[in-house]
Amino acid sequence: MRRLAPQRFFFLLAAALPAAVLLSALVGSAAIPPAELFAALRGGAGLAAAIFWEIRLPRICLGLAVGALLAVSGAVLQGLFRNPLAEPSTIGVTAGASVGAGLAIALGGPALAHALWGLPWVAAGAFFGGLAATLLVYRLATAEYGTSVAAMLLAGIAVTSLAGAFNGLLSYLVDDAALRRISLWQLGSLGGADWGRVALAAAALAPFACWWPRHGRSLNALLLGESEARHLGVAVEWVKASAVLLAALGAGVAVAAAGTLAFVGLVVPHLVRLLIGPDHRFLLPGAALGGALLLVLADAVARVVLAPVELPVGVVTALLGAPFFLVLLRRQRRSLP
Amino acid sequence: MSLRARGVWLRVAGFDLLAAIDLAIHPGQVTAVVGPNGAGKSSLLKVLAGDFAPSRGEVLLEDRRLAAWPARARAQRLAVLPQQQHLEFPFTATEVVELARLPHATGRRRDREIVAAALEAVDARYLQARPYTQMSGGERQRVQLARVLAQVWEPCGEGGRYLLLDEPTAALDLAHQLLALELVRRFAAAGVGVLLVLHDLTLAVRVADQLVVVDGGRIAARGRPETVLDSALLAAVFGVRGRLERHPESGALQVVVW
Repeated sequence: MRRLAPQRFFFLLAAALPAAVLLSALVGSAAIPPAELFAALRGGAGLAAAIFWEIRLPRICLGLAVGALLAVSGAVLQGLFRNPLAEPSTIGVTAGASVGAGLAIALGGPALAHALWGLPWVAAGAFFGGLAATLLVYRLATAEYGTSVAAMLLAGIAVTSLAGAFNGLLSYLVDDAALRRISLWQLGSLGGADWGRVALAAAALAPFACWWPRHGRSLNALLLGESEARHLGVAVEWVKASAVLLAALGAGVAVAAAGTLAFVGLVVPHLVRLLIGPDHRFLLPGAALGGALLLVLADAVARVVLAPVELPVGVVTALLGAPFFLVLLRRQRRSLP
Repeated sequence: MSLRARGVWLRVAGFDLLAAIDLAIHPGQVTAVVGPNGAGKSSLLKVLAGDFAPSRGEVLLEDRRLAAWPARARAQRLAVLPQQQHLEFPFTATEVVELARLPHATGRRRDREIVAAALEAVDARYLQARPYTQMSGGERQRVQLARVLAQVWEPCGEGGRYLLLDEPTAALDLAHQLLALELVRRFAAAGVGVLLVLHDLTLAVRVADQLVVVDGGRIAARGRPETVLDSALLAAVFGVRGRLERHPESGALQVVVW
């Protein structure tokens, strides 16, 4: 397949993203007619305006930010593991983050519900849970020569089921209010969107934005192998450590803000790579924009497909992503000796 | 100017993979390392490349300990081609070779010229836009060879340039094996110090100024190929009966075994 020039790709995304946002603003359990949307945008009051400003717009912004976070975390993880099948949910990072979030909720107690520091507290828990899972799987799966796909996926399964058991245990130990909040994390949804979550997710994107212009090429070199990258003058240990931290941050904050949304980090970087190639200098920002686009569209689908009932968007991304993952796995198996 | 191992021992899990190694690579000279399987050829290359730290002794690049070099400055003068290459991502040949210019600051235009010339040199121009994941083993090896050549393509500041190649001809067909050796000679003539690990004794004899025979982690013999590789050594180290002969028509040296 011929590649698109990166400039062209970014131009197309820049055109598609506002269109997707507009579409997503119009549809839902209560559809907003275009005329009323424009009235709301010009400062008009009324039911449609209230729905748009207080429910739909935060939700769209959260979708943009979380989609970008998940996709760019996936792209960084794939570079770090030197394998295109790595993804926060397949290697257990998301599961680790959900345990961390659950623990934070359980330890935070009832004070958490309304406190200003409730969300950052949960996000910190999710970050450390995700970090622990990333480090564990990375240690298990990487050897001197490349990463073992089998070891990586098996370690991911083990971490995920361990996390499941731990979450099950937590659900027996905590009170009903905490249990409800914990179960929210396990079904990924953008339904709980508010501006606090949007701010948190957007802030988590900042370190990625600082990192990729400087280390995109280093990550390219790392794909050749660790000692090869070292021979090319790359500060391998620093790049690896910062990539682990970034991936855990991205996956952790995404889990804290929207629960577990599987496969966004797998599907998006893969599609972007197909379109413009694997160069991380373009792949990372491309994945961020593509992830934002995909999640906003998936959320719009989740809202209309069973309207007026709303499907959790995690169900939509899993329905989309899991078959995609299987196809990739099959293709990679064939290309391996 | 040299890349030098001084009194190097490498002990891993109680075994001496290398023992009492003294070896120097000088700019303009080709050193071929040969030896039976498991003799320590690749370990020797990895110690010189800085992948393994010696348990005893030291490796010096221009009289400075290899580990003390800043990563980038070292990469500007020392390029390494490992034996195995794993790349699961569809980089084109051009993109793979471009990685070699990472430690340099010669500008995009010059880099592009070097990348194109390096691909041309290994007969891989036709692979320019092809994804690495869709190349054959020999094509991949040529692209990787082009990558390390592009890394030391031209002098960079003071000091020499060095190339360490671990079995660069293993996956190549006959014509490309000869092409690779010719490139090695060309780079040596331009002032690059080359050390390469080879399995094929005839190829080693053909390319080397200095032949180093490794056996059991020690240097068993070294010197000019035509003096080192005699029947006694072939029997003692490789366990074969044979000798070095000059081909009656071409005059080329070759190892004949029977």
